[in-house]
Amino acid sequence: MVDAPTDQGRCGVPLIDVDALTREFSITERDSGLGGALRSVVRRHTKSVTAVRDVSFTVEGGTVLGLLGPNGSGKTTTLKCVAGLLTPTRGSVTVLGLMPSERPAALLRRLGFVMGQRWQLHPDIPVLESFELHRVVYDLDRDEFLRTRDELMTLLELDDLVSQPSRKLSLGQRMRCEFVAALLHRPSVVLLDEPTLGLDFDAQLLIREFVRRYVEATGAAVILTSHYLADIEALCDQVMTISHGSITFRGSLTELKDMAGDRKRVTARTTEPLPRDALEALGHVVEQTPGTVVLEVPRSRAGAVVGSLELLDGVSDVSLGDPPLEETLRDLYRLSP
Amino acid sequence: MTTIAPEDAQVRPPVRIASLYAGMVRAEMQAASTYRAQLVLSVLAWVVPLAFLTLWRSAAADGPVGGITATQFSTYFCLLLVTTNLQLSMPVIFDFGWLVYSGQMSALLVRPCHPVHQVIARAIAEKVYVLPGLAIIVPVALVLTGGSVSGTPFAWLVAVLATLLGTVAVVYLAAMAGAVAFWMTKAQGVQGLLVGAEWVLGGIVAPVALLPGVWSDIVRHQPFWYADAAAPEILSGISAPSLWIVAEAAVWVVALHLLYRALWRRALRKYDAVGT
Repeated sequence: MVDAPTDQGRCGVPLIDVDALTREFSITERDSGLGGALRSVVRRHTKSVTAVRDVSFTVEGGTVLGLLGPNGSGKTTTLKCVAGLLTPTRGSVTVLGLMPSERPAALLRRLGFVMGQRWQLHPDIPVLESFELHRVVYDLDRDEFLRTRDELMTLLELDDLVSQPSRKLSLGQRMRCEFVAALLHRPSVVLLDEPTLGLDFDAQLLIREFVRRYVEATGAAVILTSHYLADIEALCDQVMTISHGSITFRGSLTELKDMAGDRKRVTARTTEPLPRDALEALGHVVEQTPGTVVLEVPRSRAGAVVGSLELLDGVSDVSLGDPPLEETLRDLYRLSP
Repeated sequence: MTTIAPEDAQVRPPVRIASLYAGMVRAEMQAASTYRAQLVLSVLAWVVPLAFLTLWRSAAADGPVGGITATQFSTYFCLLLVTTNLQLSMPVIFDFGWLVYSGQMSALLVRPCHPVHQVIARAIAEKVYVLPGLAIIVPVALVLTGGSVSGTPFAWLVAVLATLLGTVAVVYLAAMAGAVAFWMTKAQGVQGLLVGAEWVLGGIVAPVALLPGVWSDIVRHQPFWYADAAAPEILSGISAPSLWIVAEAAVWVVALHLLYRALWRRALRKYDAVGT
């Protein structure tokens, strides 16, 4: 895997430092319909919207921070501030000791950004030529570039694709090529915005494994946003949830799962319908279908509920588990700052 | 907090810029070759100076117009066909604005290279394909219309330098007009104004010597004139060559460079990094 002896020494050292970041946008509002459109030509109403508010965190080398949140919560705005695409309204962002919003070339040479919906490959030239263009833009040593390129292409199984223009590739193929392009210069800081969006299962697995190995080999600091929890579970050492522009949780995935620890899910297999009243007396009925009943109960009462269910006629099997992580996240998403 | 080592921040501007453009123009020439019909059209598309050549030659058939003879009109517009075809302003203006509007600017902004270089490289690559067409059309037009290119080596030197410096200055203006998209999102109106201005100020419609009163003198001190009309005027004998022309064009380049840098900083602060 990609050699990066200098970066490995960065493991555990903060590479990204975000302090009280706030980003506001000015948006235009108008009434609906043609009348509203015509009035807006003469007089326009604008209002300020806060996309990210007082967000602070650090990311150390060799770690992957998962940034989770519903659509419009401020995940991508945060990433764009870290990348220097957006200038903070207040607060500060420091990456490798530099301010990204000033776009210092020395920092941009160490930054890789994979944007799920924005392509960095040139659409009209073969992918291999796009990589060569990347070498020129990043002013990379040719031998080092070739070594890195070939390693990355092997890891992501690109050999059969690189002679085609990227616009002729499927989404999954193109995304794999984008990953190579984003990492050819062996960035110390990698930002991944929905990198597996729309990809099939095999491509998702390939990319997860690729990112994991890249971080291990280079000691890079990675921020990952994804709607796929499998991405987060496979890659992230730390998780941060963001809702309405503010952080609602920061900790390890284990800690996140523990937040659901005060509740348990009891699942019963049934051979005949159970009376609803009896079930509601035991706990909150999450699901009741022919053959299955799922109850959510406080952890302290879980054992007793299991025992009660086993005594009921028509129950063939009872099992105990945690609520799905998605539901814990949904609760976090709903938290207001 | 880990910081970047000082040696990482070293820059080698002249070598870096040369290798950057060589690589980017090479890639863009490959990209342009994908669309062959577009290539053929681009070779034939900009023949507007020939239309004005016909017009002004007719006007000068009975004698000089504003001191310009029919032969000078022929020479002037044939050379204008060269200079205007090599201008990068239109692709720079519209590509740059489109990058902001479409959201593609974000992908370019995370690279250690100003996005305008990508746009300029694309424009240069397109012009490379236009050159063979010009090499045929211009001599034929000169012969058919009775034009005659002459001039001392000094005149040629001034003509070439003025065109090069003027082209750079106009690229700065075009990039600034394109950057209006950071504020207005759809900035084609402003960009169209600049294109329209080039028709008059660059002497495309008529040699600026024909402008009324002091206007002809004033217009000879701005970038469009250096880029488009200076060389045709000098080599057709309408204007005298002077090093002042080159010096003024160089001052424009420096001034517009500084102005563009200031504008770019403000544009980045304004950037919302959204798509269409």
